[in-house]
Amino acid sequence: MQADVASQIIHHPFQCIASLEQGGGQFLLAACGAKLLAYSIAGRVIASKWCSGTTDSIAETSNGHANGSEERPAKKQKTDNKKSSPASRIISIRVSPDQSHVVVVTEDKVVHVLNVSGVGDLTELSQRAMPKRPCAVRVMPNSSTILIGDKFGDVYSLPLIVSEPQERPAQPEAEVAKSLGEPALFKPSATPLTVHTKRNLRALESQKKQKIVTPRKEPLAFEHKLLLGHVSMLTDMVHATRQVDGKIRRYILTADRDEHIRVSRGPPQSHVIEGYCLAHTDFVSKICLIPRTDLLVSGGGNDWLGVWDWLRCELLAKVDLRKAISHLLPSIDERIAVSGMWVVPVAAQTDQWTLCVACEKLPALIFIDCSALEHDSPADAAVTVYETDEAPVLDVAYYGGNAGHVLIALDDRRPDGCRLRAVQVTGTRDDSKTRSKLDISEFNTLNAPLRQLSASNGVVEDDAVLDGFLYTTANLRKRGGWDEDNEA
Amino acid sequence: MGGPPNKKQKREEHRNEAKAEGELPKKKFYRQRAHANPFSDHALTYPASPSQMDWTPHYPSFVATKSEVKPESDAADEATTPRLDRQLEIADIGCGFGGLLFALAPKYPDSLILGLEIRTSVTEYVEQKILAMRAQAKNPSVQPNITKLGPLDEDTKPPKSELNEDTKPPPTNPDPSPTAVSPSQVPGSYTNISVLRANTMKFLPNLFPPTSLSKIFLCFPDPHFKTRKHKARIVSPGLVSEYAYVMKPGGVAYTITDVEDLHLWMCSAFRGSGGLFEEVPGDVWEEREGEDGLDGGGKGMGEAWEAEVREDVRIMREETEEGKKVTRNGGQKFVGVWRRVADPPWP
Repeated sequence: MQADVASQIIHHPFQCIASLEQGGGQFLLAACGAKLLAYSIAGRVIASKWCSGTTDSIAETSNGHANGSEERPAKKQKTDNKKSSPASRIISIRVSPDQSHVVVVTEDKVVHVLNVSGVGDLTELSQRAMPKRPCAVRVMPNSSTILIGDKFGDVYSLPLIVSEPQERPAQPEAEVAKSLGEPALFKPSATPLTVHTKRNLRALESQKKQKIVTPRKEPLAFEHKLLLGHVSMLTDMVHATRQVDGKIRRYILTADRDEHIRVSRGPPQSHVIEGYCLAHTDFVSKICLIPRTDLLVSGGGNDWLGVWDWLRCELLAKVDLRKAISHLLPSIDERIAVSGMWVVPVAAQTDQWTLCVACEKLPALIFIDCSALEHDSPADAAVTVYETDEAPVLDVAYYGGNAGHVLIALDDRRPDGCRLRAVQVTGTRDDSKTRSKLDISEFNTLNAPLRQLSASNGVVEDDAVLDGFLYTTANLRKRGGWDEDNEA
Repeated sequence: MGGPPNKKQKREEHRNEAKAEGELPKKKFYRQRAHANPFSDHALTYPASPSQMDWTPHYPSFVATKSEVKPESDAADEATTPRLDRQLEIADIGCGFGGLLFALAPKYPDSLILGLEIRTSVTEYVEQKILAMRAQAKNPSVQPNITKLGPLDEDTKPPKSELNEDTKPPPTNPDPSPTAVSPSQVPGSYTNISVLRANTMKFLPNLFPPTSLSKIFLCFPDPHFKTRKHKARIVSPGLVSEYAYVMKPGGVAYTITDVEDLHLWMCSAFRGSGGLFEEVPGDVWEEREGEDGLDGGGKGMGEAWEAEVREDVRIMREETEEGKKVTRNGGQKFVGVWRRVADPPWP
């Protein structure tokens, strides 16, 4: 879609966005490569910048909106050596429900917690490196616990605020001292009686003589709990609560690459599985709860969205996505990969919501009225396709509560491209049949400043590299034909 | 690393050659590397959900007649998927060459037992062997290698004749070996066991509905010695939750290994299950003097239940292929028995 642009300058889009309300003002958080901008919507200015690279972040925050230093982190991250390039691209932003903190995850598996001041200044409070790449990040409603689901299928909970940053528990240190003191011999778990082949026995003999060269990888040096585990890459996670007999029940819903949606109890009973929502025949990449209902919508590599009663693990309907977007697909057998789902408010309506669905590389955002999903035949829910002028949708956020301003981050790499767009869902209008469609209009007072913001924050990038970074959902699809005979 | 080409050829020849009815497959043609990566996408077939699984080809003797199919199954796929007259009850996860399956079959002739194995060629062996054993049981006149007949049950339960209408006791057994009991007397005639190629670490909830299994066996699993590989172990804190999910309260999970470290790891996973499993202490299942056999029955925690658990442990120790190998090698066997408790109340 950027074919018409000469290959000279390619601008980095905002790969993740979020909104935040602080000190009575609305802020847009937008991640551009390794940088995070806090943009004051009322003031139309960048309130602060933060960069995941430690050295750069100091320079960036002190320089405020200096545009001259823009290209430094970009250059650095091209060198593939981890140590010399501290700046790592942002893959996820989550705002705590109390709006005071931002959890930023970078490609190098580090979870950063930032504090947000009343004027939108971002200050980094902590960095925690996870063992595997975090794929799903949520902040619990109490704003004190982070849930992280990773590529290995594990879900951890971490306190949002690291209580005593530098103080380490005494135990690991003692162990380190011990291992330094005596040149410990490697103690294999197998004994001559457990292994059967000659080769194994020989290997065991040599293992016994071996000294421990590499000390065991230290377990995570910060407070964390393993809540649950899938034997599959985790793709998305949501947290839900229900009130039963005056008591709050917490749930964690997790989706994985092997078609599962698991409903578990929330901590401290996350090891209890309440059920599985099973029907997908390809990966599940996104799950989304519909407010005020027991409905869960799931999307992934199938041509449809699943509408579930998640408490009963019952599939209520499949909403046909292919039918809705077939005119936008480059070919008839092009496969669909749902890359994002969000619930956004309908403007000027109390508690009326609409579901937004993005498909990877598809230059459109699909809107589905949530109230239609609640009705008897959700499969017939009207789908409104909002086309985004050739630029695929990367992320969606909204601000202003019920006012319903929806912000869409687009992959527009042209120098004068529109990388952020504000729209409003202005309620439903009745279609000729009883189906209702949504009206979506551009929100003009904001679009001009957003265009400016996007124009001034471009980063030179390589097209293919950028594609590889932004579009990872379709890679979740299994490549058939592989079998154990190929396994060495 | 395929061996010399003629090995491959011999395997194919063996598998393709027409076998006499009841002829057992030869294990040497089905051996396969003992490790499989549970994280990779094997070319597996599995149902999207348990209600879409058609078990009838696995247990043809237990297919529900029309009237037995519950009318309340209203979902489209449920209505079209053929049903069995009962639920699967016992799973042997990582069944290997199926030693445990063949030993359990006559013990629980009314329970459906499934072996699950990730290696294709090993699964194929078990498939072939089940067919052969069924054929032998059905028609005892064809017994090419009766001495190889696996577990022989001393129980004198009559075979479930209503399952195999064709099974008629042979007029005379041509050459009854003194030690072997005629297979026509094998309860269940091996119609109650089957095998499925599956990666249970990923797809257990796709195969079994919640609270459906009363027994799970995890025998001599891959120890995955390296710390980095511990997530690939078949018992892990995360997977214990899944085993609990498919098991009935009161059901029993059995583990056995010859690697002490692995045993301790499995114990800690079950103990750390937040009260989903409780340990059945060794004095319940350790073998006692002067006791042999049992007659199933009680599912409570009474004497009968304890005797059943004891017998299961004995079979697991002695009848699994790996168990025999460890005995030959003089190795130790570490057993764990875990009883599924009802889900804890909400906090």
